[in-house]
Amino acid sequence: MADKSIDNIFHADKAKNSGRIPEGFVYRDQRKRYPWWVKSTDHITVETDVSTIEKPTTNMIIMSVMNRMSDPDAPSQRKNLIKKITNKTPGFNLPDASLLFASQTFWQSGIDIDGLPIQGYQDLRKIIDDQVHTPEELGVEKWEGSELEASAMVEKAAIHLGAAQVGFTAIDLTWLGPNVSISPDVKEPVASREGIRFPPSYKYIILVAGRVPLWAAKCAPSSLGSAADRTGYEEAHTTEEKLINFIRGIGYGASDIHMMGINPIPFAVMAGMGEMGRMNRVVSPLFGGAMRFAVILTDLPLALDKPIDFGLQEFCRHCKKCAKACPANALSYDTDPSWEPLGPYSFKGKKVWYDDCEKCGAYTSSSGSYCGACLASCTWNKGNKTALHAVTKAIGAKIPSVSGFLAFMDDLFGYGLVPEETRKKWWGLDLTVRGVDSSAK
Amino acid sequence: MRNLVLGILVGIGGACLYFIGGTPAWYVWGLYALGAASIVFSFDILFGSLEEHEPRAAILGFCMFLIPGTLLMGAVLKLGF
Repeated sequence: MADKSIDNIFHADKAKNSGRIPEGFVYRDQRKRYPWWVKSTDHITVETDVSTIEKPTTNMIIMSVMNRMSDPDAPSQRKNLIKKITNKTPGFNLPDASLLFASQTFWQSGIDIDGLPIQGYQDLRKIIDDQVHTPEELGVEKWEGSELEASAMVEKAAIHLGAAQVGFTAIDLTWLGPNVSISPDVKEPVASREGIRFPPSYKYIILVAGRVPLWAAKCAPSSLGSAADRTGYEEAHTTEEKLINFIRGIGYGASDIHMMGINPIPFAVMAGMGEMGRMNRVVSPLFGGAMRFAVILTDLPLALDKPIDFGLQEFCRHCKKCAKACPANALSYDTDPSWEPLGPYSFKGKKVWYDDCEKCGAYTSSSGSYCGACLASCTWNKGNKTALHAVTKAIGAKIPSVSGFLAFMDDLFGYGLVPEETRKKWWGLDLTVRGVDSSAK
Repeated sequence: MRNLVLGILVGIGGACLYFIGGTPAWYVWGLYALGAASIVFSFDILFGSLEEHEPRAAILGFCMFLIPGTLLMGAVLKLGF
């Protein structure tokens, strides 16, 4: 459990609303991060109530593993995948499936096609550690600079190493998993059977975003769509590992923290990487749902980012495109968000459109794919080759009440998930790396 | 390159209006600007969407902006020359 006396160091204070930017930190100039139609704010756009916050007792990964272990004969991804490959289901052909597995070669967390945790990458950490050359080892002074200089430098390094975008925020005990705590008794992060303990100096969080190749993602739910999903995760996670080595190399501590211990979503929202959307996941004004996150904790003092507001809370009230795309019918069609989670897998204490994790998990573990249809169908997922997208995004952000019309036009123009019979077209497309040049805004 | 070509064409159209059209009323210039913007936008959508492998968006967007743009240019020809 977290040491309560440490609470005051961070911003898990007893204020009515968590989600406000913490005091006592330096903040970056937010004007250069986004186009003019994205505002930066001092509070996230989702209402939160600290007095009702309740951590989930489990999460989808653990649920999936438990289900699998308790019933080895339950329909598994493996079984259904083999069936779909045999039947030559579009998007599930052998090259599609092989591309999926290749796309997650270096991914370090999550579940495999048997519903069991992926462990292989843990063994690679030692090799990664061997690549670090700290100032102590080299016999030189560690890097010193201001928080603003540190953030600018880390951002530049992250983009160089493969990130689509980075964000900085401070740790908030409220949103850490039940097995993660901050302890003054440790000087370095310590992982044990009881959980992970971090020293109080590790109060900065770096969000690393990996870009999901858009066209392949739109083939969800299929192996091809899942290959895009895994590419995004893997890009985020491999960049994360390289960035950790960079930070260690300039003389500071940094550690990854896997998804079972920390849910990146609240921190991504606090760092202004996006807003909470109807799918109960982060929607970015630049990338829509086509990005995935990895998280680094560090003691390198950083200038933080602020949350953003691009009208998504109003936009999602009318759009509902992700809810219509969900093959498991796990997303809410309600016009307004709610305080009540739809199962034991979500945090209480926030007013969002909760998804039914159980339905989502059951579909994911039995469909032969990792789905991702909601994220792939989002109206904000767009390339950058035509000014049309910049214009419609600006309209969506400034007049979000017209999102129903924009969603209708989106469908009319043929955006969103590609029809099943069109999936195989992907192999013949002349695509740029990752589908889109992520450096352009 | 396509933006350069479109820019040159818009410039040539404006020069024609100025030198050959005599002294068109102020609103003709407004119609010309709107028509030119609409046509340029239609080509931007056409080529951009094809690059994004979105052929339906390319055709629909092209027609949606080219038709009003052409009508506006027709009005400019009628009123400005």
